[in-house]
Amino acid sequence: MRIWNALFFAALLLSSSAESEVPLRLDVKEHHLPNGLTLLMLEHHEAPVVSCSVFYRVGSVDEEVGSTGISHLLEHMMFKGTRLVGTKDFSREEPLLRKIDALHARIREKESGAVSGTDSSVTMMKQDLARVERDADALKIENELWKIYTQNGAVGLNASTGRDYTQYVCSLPSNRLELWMWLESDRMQNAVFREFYRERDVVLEERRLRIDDSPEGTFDEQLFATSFIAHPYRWPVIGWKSDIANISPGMLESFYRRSYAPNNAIIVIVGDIQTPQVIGLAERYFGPVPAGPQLPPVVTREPGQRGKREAILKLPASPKISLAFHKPGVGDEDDIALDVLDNILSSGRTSRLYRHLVEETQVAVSVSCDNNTMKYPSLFVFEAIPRQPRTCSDVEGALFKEIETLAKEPVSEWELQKSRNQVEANFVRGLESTSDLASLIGTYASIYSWEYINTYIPKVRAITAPDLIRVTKKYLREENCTKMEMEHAPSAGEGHP
Amino acid sequence: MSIRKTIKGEAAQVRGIAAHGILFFTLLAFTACTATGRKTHPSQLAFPLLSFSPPEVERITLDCGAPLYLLEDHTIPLFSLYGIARAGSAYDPPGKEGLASLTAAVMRTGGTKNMRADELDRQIEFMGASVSASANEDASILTLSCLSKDVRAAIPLALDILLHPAFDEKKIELRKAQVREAIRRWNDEPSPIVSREFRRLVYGTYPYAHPVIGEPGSMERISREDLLAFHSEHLHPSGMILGAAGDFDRGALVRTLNSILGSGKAAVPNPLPEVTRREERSVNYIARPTEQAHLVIGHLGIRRDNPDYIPLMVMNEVLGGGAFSSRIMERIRTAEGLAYHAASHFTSNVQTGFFSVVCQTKEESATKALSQILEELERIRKDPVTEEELSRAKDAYVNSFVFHFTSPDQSVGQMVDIEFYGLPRDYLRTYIARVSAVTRDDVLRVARIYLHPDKATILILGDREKFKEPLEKFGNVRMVDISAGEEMIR
Repeated sequence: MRIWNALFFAALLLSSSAESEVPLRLDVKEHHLPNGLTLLMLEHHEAPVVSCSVFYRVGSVDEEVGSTGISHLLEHMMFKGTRLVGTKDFSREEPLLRKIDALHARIREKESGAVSGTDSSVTMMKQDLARVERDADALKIENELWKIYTQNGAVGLNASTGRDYTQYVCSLPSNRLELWMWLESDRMQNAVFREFYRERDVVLEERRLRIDDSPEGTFDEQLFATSFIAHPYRWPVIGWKSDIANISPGMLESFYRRSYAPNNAIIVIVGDIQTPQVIGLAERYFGPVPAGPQLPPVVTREPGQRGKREAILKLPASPKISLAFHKPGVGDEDDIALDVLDNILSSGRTSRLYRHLVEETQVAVSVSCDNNTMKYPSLFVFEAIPRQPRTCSDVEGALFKEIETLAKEPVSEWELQKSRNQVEANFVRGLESTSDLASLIGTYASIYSWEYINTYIPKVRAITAPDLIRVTKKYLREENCTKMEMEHAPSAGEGHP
Repeated sequence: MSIRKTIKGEAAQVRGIAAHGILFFTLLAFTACTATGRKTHPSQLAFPLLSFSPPEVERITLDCGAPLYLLEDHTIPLFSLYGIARAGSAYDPPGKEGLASLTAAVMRTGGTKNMRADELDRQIEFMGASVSASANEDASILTLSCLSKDVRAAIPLALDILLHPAFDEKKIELRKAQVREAIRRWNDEPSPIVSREFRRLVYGTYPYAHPVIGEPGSMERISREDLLAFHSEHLHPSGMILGAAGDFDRGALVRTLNSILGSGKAAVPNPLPEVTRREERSVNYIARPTEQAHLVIGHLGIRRDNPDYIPLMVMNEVLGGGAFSSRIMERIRTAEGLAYHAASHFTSNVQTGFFSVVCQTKEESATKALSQILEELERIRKDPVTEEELSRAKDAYVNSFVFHFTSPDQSVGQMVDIEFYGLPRDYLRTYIARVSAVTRDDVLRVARIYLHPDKATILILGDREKFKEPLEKFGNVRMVDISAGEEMIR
């Protein structure tokens, strides 16, 4: 979702008009270190600030059944410090952390019945565990990484995990760039997963909040799970609940060693910087980090859908409908035509869906669509809320009618030009914020290539009305569609199954 | 929320109203030690001095009497105009809740006396521009964002919307239907339920209590005449504060604004009554079979112009406002793994805002988390914070000061907000000095004055059958009925 928003914005960012004074492109400087690290820099001198990100080309798409959610859990654990940060004395802390892991593993074995033993031995191990945890806690410095950053004036400090990549973001006063280099190169190689078990509980709480207790979240999760039967986009980024609980520190450690190597990372620095200085700092701090193995690409391809799929979700929430169509990944020429189609269908009050479904026939109270921008083939999704007393099937009929029109009649030149103008204006708007620019550059670099940003506007300009008819016919077909409806069901007092 | 979400590219720009202030001059540098080779801890790093002069935002008075803040900056070919009026939902008449919000929304969507709604949207959207109008508790806000090449075409459209809205009957009906639908759905997700109901509990009958969008049944009681009357009473340009930022020509802009807005006298905004509620401890329970209990603990807070605002923000940073650097997060999330989100917050309003701690945790740990939060509120009132906590919180504010000036739009917007909330015009100039002056005693003093765990309103949504302790432990329990909105239509 987030990726797409950034993209759309970017997309909207890029077209140009004759009078425009800024070039509608980003003058990104690219540099590579011998260990494979990619460095992307953009000078932006409006204020003495710098936005810094590390993008790892790894996300939930790179996971396996049984440990889904591991990339997101790793993202959480990356805030727990390293051998140098977050500890008073790592040489004393390390053996205790190993002991904690061993005790947890043994308790788990006993409790699962895999190993015979008495309840009293489990009780004793738990007492043991509590003692060792107390000793380990005494040696840690809680949230030290976070505290160092914020004390130095960091804003927007965060991280996020997606299906295709994981990003660590923050903005600092520009004189603190070296601090960022120090901390990020440290956690690229020295992360220590202290407090693992508590943090895994935190992630389970996050899942309850975002998905299990949220009809919206459950709906999105189920839509992807129903639309994909083979490709790993089918599981949620946060992971299935039972999988999260199954992840061990050992699994996390090996996932970290495999994924967080410099050759799988992209550093993006945007702000009040001088490129040669940034390169010098990056060489000093990231240069010594050893390269890791090459991550294998995802080989699974989603088989072609051979008929409409329909699913109904019964939750204590009001009706809602989605239609999801399989479509290509970023870089495919058709994906840009679908972006333009998305814009014409759903951007603003002059868009087709708003005018026809919300204003004229009033079948829906709101309607939108999203041409998700992702690395691998994904989904073009329509979403609408019926306006009482109209139903989901009324809305579905109206949506397919729009699609039918698009497949037959060319869109007007006015609509095409409007979407080009919006793409351009939004590109210019995106130039104001160093953090938005860093996110944009890193996103495209992770899923395709940052240069895509500079080719985007010319490509949008080249899209014609017949292109839109062609992609409508090719992708927005009924047999390529998964329909999901939310149907209101009382909560019945027993919670979710 | 969901209503606006679908209108892409519109109204993306609702500005967060003046949270913290800003500063000046130079930021601190630690002692240098030239780095040859890697230090073993980041505290050994030295940073070059950062010298920085914030951009000078000019203030003039327009012929209509409204102040205009200006910052011309040609770096990016973008222009934005921002106008704020004291016309929030606090001025909704009883029974007509949602009037301010409806007026702002339909002012934008309902066309003008000079142009039909559809034509207006076509012109604005074709430029890739955006004009939006919305209301919060205190204010109605109008914004325009466009490319600088379109300034001449876009400003008259935006001001026509402000001055001569037609309030087309069909657009009023459409918006009302959307609001009714939003109300019918407002119990679908737990988080919005508790924030809405907590506000009601804290404010009682005060007009900050009701949701900005309205109440069940209130749309039926609002007529087009009500919108016209609200507009003419509260949205006159003479009572507004305006800001313009980006790539424009100062002389031409001022001439244009004066010629369109005309002349007049600065209008004094209608005062709101004081919030005078007497508070006592209450425990309020919403039964819902969720996996997670939602907790809100809090009470009335401060007005934005309270002179203790800065020490209070420093106190809150230590308590629960500073994410992982704060006590509540450290205890509830890091040390216990009880919650993903746990934070405290003071709202900023013209009249008295409120203080709240919010957290979500599995049902089994609900009462434990609640006890721990109450303990943290007591603890910060009992003993001074440590020197380390104090300097961490102050440094965070001082060192991030430069982020208040990252775009011309932001520099201007915050000056507009400073005047809107009645803060001194040199607020930013004195900000760093005032943050730096906060002491441990100040933090203790404001914690004792402004935190009242003994009188806190506690709101819990969840399944009490699964709680480990009875809720009565925390006070008399009252059931909260939230069915009104749903029954309206279902």
